[in-house]
Order: sequence, then C-alpha cells, then structure tokens
Amino acid sequence: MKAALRMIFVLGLIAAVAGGALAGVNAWTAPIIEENTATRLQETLASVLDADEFELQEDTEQTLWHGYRNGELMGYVVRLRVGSYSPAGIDTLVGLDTEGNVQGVFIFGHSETPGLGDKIEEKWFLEQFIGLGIGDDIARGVDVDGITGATVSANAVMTAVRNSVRFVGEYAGLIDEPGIINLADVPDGTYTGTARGFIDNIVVEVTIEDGKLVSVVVIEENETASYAGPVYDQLPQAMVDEQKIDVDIVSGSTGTSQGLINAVKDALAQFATGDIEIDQLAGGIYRGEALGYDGKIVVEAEIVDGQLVAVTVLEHNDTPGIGGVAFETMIERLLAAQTLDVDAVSGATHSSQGLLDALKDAFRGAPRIEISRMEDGTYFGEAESFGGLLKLKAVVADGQLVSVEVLDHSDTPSYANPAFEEMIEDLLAAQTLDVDLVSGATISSQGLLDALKAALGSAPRLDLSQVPDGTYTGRADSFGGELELEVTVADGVITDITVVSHSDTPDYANPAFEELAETVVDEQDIYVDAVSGATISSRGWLSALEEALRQAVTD
Amino acid sequence: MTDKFVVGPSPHVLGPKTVKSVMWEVVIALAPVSIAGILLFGLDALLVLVTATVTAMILEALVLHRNLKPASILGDGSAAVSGLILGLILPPSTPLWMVVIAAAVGILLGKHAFGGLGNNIFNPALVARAFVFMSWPVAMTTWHGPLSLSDWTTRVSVDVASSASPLGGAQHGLMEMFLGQTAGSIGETSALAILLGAIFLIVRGHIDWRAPLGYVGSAAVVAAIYSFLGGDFALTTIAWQLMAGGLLFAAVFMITDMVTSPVTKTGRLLFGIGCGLITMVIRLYLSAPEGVTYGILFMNAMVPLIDRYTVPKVFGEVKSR
Amino acid sequence: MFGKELIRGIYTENPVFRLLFGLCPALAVTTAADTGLGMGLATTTVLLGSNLVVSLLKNVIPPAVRIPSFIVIIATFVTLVGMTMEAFFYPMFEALGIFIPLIVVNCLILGRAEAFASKNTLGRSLVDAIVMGIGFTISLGLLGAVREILGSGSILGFQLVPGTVDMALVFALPPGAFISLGLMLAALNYIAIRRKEA
Repeated sequence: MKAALRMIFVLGLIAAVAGGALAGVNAWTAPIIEENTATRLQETLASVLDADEFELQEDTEQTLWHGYRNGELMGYVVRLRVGSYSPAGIDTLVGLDTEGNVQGVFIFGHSETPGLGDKIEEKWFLEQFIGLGIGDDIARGVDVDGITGATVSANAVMTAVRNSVRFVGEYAGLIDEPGIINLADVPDGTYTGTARGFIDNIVVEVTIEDGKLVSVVVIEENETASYAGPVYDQLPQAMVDEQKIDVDIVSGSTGTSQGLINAVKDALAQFATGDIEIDQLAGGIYRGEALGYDGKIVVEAEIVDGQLVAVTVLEHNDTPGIGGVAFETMIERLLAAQTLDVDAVSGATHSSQGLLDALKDAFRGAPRIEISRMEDGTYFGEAESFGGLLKLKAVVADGQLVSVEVLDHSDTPSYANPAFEEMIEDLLAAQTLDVDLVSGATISSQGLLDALKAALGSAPRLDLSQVPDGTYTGRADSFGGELELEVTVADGVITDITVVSHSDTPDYANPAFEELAETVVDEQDIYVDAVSGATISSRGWLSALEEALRQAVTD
Repeated sequence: MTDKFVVGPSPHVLGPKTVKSVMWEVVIALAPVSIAGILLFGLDALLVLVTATVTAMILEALVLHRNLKPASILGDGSAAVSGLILGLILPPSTPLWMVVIAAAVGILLGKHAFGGLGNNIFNPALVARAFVFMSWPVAMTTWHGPLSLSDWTTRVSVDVASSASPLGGAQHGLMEMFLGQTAGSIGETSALAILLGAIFLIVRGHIDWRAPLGYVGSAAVVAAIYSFLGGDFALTTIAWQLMAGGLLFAAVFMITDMVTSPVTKTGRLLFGIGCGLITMVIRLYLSAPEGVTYGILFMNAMVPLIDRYTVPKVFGEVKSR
Repeated sequence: MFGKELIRGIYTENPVFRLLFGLCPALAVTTAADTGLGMGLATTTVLLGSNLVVSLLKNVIPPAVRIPSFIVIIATFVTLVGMTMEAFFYPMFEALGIFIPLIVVNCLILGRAEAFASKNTLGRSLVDAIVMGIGFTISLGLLGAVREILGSGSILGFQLVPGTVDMALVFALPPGAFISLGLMLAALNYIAIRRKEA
C-alpha cells in the first residue's frame, strides 16, 4: 500500500513538474512562434505579389488574400490545390494584380516524383507565367513551355494558374462572359478590338454592313511572320465567307489564330447578348471545342425546340477512367438542368470545366442541321422573308427530306414562287441545307432556308391535314390528375374540343380550357401557347389533344 | 572447393547441364532481343549493351579472382547474362558512364554484397536499374523513337528526336508494338524478339512456364478489370498493357532467373502472379512510369517465404493431425 | 579520462554504427549534412536533460514505475526542445519536421536512461550523455554528408561539383539512406574485423 502510494506520488510529481515546465516554456515561445508564422506567411505572399499587407478574405470559394501597399489595393493572391500525378496534388499560390495579370507563382507544397515532377519548382518554369492574364490561354505550347519528363505535373501547375486567373477574374468582375455575338444585331460601322496573340497584342478593325461582316483587317501585330502569315491570309476571309467569328484555326499557328479570333470578339463584345440561354437557341447540332485537363475536348450538342437533348464528346485526351465518367455525369446533369450553370464533377473539375467551355464555344457558333439524323415526322417552321412571315412544312422519312411545302408567305409571287420551287428541288436533291440561293430572289430563298432551319430545329409535329374525319378521345396528366377530352375533326378541320373529365381546380382550369379550345379551332394549330395563370392545366389539355389526334393518325 | 567433400542430397547424377552451359544458352536466347534492339535503336544501343556486359564481366572477375585473365573474365557467364540483361532494360540514349555505374551497382551491390551467385536475393540487373532510375530519372525516362530503314541506309548513328514511350502516352498500333517499333528500353520494345528467346529457353528446358504465365496472366486480369471499371474495356487495351514497357521482357528473362525466383512449382506460379499484380498496381495507380522493376524486386524479397509455404509433400507423407 | 569516454562515444560504442540505436532518425533526416547535425544536436540536448534528471531521481523513482517516469521526463524535454526550435531555429525545425517529436521514441535516449543514468552518478551520467550525443551527432552528420555529397554534390550547402553535373539523386531519397548506412556499417565492420585479426 505504501509502495503504491509512493509510486503514485512520484509519478504525479514528475508529471506536475513536467507540466509546469512545459507551460512556462510554452508561454515564453508561443507568442514568438505565432509572430514568426505570421511573418513567414506575409513573406511568402509578398514573394508572389508586390504588396506589404495581406488580408485573408472570408467566404470566398478559394482561399484569397487582398494585397495592399500604403492602403492601396495592389492585387490578389489565390491558393489552389490541383490534382496531379501524385494523389495529394499540388498546392499553389498565385499572385495577380488588379487587372488579373499574374505577378508570381509559388509552389506551396507537392509530393511529385523527386527528380521529375519536382522540376515544377524551378524558377524558369514559374517565371514564364508572369505577365499572363485574362484572355491568355495559359496552356502548354501556346504561351508557356512544359517540362520534359514532367508533363503531367507541369500541366497541373498551368491549370492552377489558369484557374486562379479565372477565379480572380470572376471575383473582381474582370471577366465579362463573352456572350453570343449575333452579327445581325450589330449596327453598321467599323469597330476596333484587341487580344493577345502568341507573342503580343493583335489589333483588328472589323466592319459590319447590313448585319453582315464585310471585312476584318489586322492593323497592328507583332507575330512571327512565317507562322502568322497564313492566319492573316485565311482567317479574315473565312470569317467573311462563313459570316461567323469562330472559324477553324490555322493548325500550327494556334496562338495567333486564337488571338485574331479573340480580337474580333473583343471588337464586337459590346453587342454580345449575354449569357447563353439554351431555350433561346435555334435547333440543330452545335459543335465546339475547349481545353480540357490535357488537350482539346470536342463536343457536339443537339438542341430541339430550345431543349438540350443530347451532348456527345467526340474527342478528348483526358484520363480515360476519370474524364470519361466525369463527362457522362456532366452530360446527365446538363440534360436534367437545361442550363450550362451546373456543378463540376468533383475529382474531375478540369474535365468538367473543359466540357462546359466546349459547350459554350459550341453555342456561340451556328448550328448545323443533319437531315440524316432527324427523327421521322412532319416539321413546321416559320421565318421572316422578303414580304413578311413565311411558313412551311417539311416531311422527313428514313433520314431523308422527302418534301418541303410552303404553307404561307407574303413575298411577291412572281419572283418568289419559282425561287421556292427551285430551292425545294435543290434541297431534296442535296439532302442538306447547304444549297445555293436562287439569284434574283435571294431574300425569299434565304427566308425559305431560315424557315426550314427553324422547322428542322424543332420537334416533329402532328400534321393536321392527315387526320381523318371523326371524333377522338385523348388523355393526359394535368394539374390535379387525369384529364380526358374529345376532339372532332370534319373535312380536315378541327371543329370542336370538349373536356370530358378533369380534376383540376375548376375556377382556374375551366376558363383556360375554353380559351385554348377557341384558339385551336381559330388557328387550326394545336401548338399554341399556354394560358398564363393556368400553365400546368393548359399543358395537360394540350398534351391530351395531341395524344387524341396522334392516335387518329396512327390508327 | 575441390579440396572439400561435397555433401548433398541424392540423387547424385552428373548431367551435362552446368551453370556455365545454362548461362551461355541464356545469352543465345538474348540474341534476338539484342539484335532487334540494335536494329531498332542503332549504334547507341550497341554501345550500351557492350558497355554493360563488359563492365559486369570485368567487375565480376576482379571480385572473384582479383585478376583480369581471360578465363576469369569469361567466368561462368552469369555476369555476362546480368550485364547484357541490364543493358537491354536501359534506354538506348543512356550515357555510357551511367551504364558503367549501373553495372557496378548491379554486380557489386546487387550480387556480391549478398555473397555472389546463388546467394543474391534480388535480381542484380533490376537492382541496377532501380538505382540508376532513382538517381537520374530524367535520363532514364528520355526515350527516342526507333530508326527507320532509311536512317540505316544513310548513316548508322543519327541524331534522333526524343519521343514518348507507350506508357508515357505515345499512341502506337498493336502491330508496331509487336515488332518493337516504339520508343522504349533497348530490349523491351520488340515482343516478337522476346517471344523467339522465350521459345528457345522453353525448348531447351531452362525456364519453367509457370512464373511467366502467372505474371502475364495476372497483369492481363488487372488490365481487364481496370479497363472495365474505366468503361473502355477492349481486348486491345489488355494487349497494349502487356506489350507496353518491360512487362514481356521481364516475364521471359527476369522473373525466370533461377537464383531469385522460387524453387517450387507452385511457388513460381505465385511469384509470377505477385509480380504481375504489383507491376500493374504501380503502373495504374502510382506516380511511377513503370512498375516492372519494383514489382519484381518486391517479390524477390518474398521468395524465401514463398518457398517455405509451398514445399511439396514428400512421397508417401500423410497429413498430420 | 574524458578522452577515453569520448572515444567510447564516437567509435567503440558509437550509437548508430556500433550499437545501431536511433536508426529511424538516422535514416530519415540525413538527406544533408546540416539536417543530420541539427538532429544530432537536438537529440544530444534531450539526452543531456533526461540523463541529468534520471540520474538525480534514480533513488526516488520506484523501480516499478521507472519506465513511465523516464518516458514522461524524455517527452517533456523533447517538447521543450521542439518549442524552442520552432521559436528560434525555424528552418531547421521545418526540415526535421515530425522527427523532432519522434525523438521521444528514439531508443538511444531511453536506452541511456535505463542502462546508464539510472545506475550511475550525476557526473558520469552527464559525461555519458555528452559523449553519446557527440557520437550520435557525428554519425548523423557523417551519414548526411555522404548522402549530400553523392546526392547533390554539395556539403553543408556549399556546392563541391558544378551544378550541371547530375549527381546520383537516389542518395537524397530514402533508399539512398539504407544503401549509404549499409555500406558505412560494412566498412566499419571490415575495419573492426581487420583490427581484431591483427
């Protein structure tokens, strides 16, 4: 007993003395350690941004400091961790000035292969980022060099810098998302724009007349002549010929080509229509590309009736296991959300962002309509022509355009009718929308083409003229439950629509149903707008009507 | 040795097979890959092979006999085999001084530090490659593409541009990979030449099929599972994984090394499977370009354990309860 | 007298090369001569403190709880050294990282406390701590120097060969620690055997 007490006492005493000593030394060293830590952080931050006071910002998506000198904002420092060869990734610190130009890059930590991946810490590699900023590609072979034997690690650092620039650009409001530039919306005039090429800025003058791009002239540049020459020869001509800005780049001169394109975009940027809204897009197939985790991602997206119905990745270089799954997940999210504003797939942020960028690029261009890929059915479309609205109907069967019929137009018949006939003949023979306009009636021909594009860009619709006479019943889900209606067709004309039963709120639904029936009978068109205030009931009613008539056609 | 009695278990049969005869036949088996390597990569490859072999033989003679008489240098041929194999698993552009260091590390540290032929735990050539790979990773991962016929007809040594190996991301057709027309280590690119050597060794009874089969088989299974999980399953992916890097060469010439692989038949199969699994895991999931070296070195260390647990049942033995 | 003790610490009972004590830090932090020396000095400080206290308290601590007592004493000194280094020698503290707290489990220190300080007078214990510490520091410094010279061609940060020469990077990596230590042990054993034979 006595021995046990002694043990407890001695051990307790030792522990107490030890604790006291530790507390004492801690009280002495803790403030020094704290101060040292703060100084070191300041020094590290100052190594990437010329400022003497840094302030950590709260609630930012990435760790971000504001850097001040004499109370004046000098720029920002972003800390990012990017995935790389080693699972832990690379921890980077990027300093940017208030314009979003890189001032310094520091590798905070990494666990890359010694002797290979750790070359990312070398001075020459990190210094080449200085001066790059918003509008620069920050990509291997474009404006920075990679490292032999450490491609993946070097690419990861490039991604980190690129994302830091983008983050600061968005954070500080420096990036205006370049929206869709619709040439037709640009007032006549000559506009000047600037963007960085491979070596230096490229300045262009862009002239627009009658909503058409008539010339692109490079007025200032400093590129290597042997590389840039073909770009200046080909790209402006291609832009004028194709009436679009995103023309194919000249291979081997990516930097200059992209610079020229960006300069033209910059010139017309003030007329951009802002964010891409999928429901505003014309139907068709869009193709675009962007940089993914490692190299180009090429995508095709199909829009039908303002709905994104399919996204296909045609080409990519990203890690097969990671990139592939990420693309699938992203596409699912995009199709569900019907907007480009979806979250990136975690663990594959670069692939995800690359896909989104490629889609944005796609939607900025014009859609392509591939008749061979169209669903069978009858398509209706309308477009502005010489004298007014032109309406037409096109029938597709077995991937072939089998007929085009102009339903209504207000153009001068003596010019327009022969032109329409000729155009339709050409279209049916060519099985593509890429046919020559009829000279002497170009505007009418263009109107026909536009209407056909609109038609084929929408979903196939029911052709009322094929519905035999009779009374048909249709059902569909509506606001409160199932809705059933009867429609009577006589001499190819809808004469009466009666709701047999429904479970919607009568006060709202009944007037809406009456209004809809009246409109449909008047216009002989079953694709009419919903009645505001009773949207869901209207949709149910319209679906039931379509279902009834569709049965009539197939029976 | 001759003045001592040799005591060993029966049967005491004196056959024609000696260490010397086996080693020189392995050299013959290595001839197709050596020739293919020289044809594909030119004079550089020849110099690397000669330097590695000669350095290994000279050092072995110095360690064992402390002289450089021709008989000492030729020795039992095991140093020549190790040296030649080492040369074959180095990139053709390896600086010759690095080759000398590699051969020295292989013979001195890999072999004689453990007690010489028969006592070394690790494959000397692989010890050497691991050493130089970790020491000069840039030189060891700088590959240049194979020479074309026209390069040969114009001049023998040409300045060749560096290019990526298949595992480093280069794209090659399977036929190109089978013939060896890809960037890579001197003896590792041509599957055809490796198979010729393999057929010779099997016909002459010098290697057991179990370890190579276990190795290639398990690697194929891992490649299949990985590609299946990645959603791009295809037989070509598996064939690609097997022909890329040093996997086939190792399967024929390294995991069949008599000293550093298990004695028992089951053991050899297990050894091969283990090597294949580790190789593929390193290739697919770790930040190293090639897993063959470490996969085999790791399993080399397991050999005594494998041998211990796979001792065959003595004839007539009954399982004890 | 002290000279003889010093030879005991540096050569005949060298903690790393003869007793194979404290191999974990000896392998892990000796990527360069300065980190090796820094680790050696930090360990020497802890050893001095623990030998001092253990020797003073050797008659007070009941044998049944002596190991826990020693551990508490050693851990206290390790933490003190750690905090002091963080405050005043930060670059070295950062370079040694986790291996500073791990001095607690360095068997050299517990070994000397248990085998020497708890049985000897204060004076002898302090001398033991000093000579063992010096032996440990020299060993780590030597191992670090060999690895630094072979791995990066420099010594204590001073470049010996032009930076353009590719030194064997493996010596700066963990496998190089094993190879260097193994070769150095072999060399020392060879010398010892030759001496015995002579």
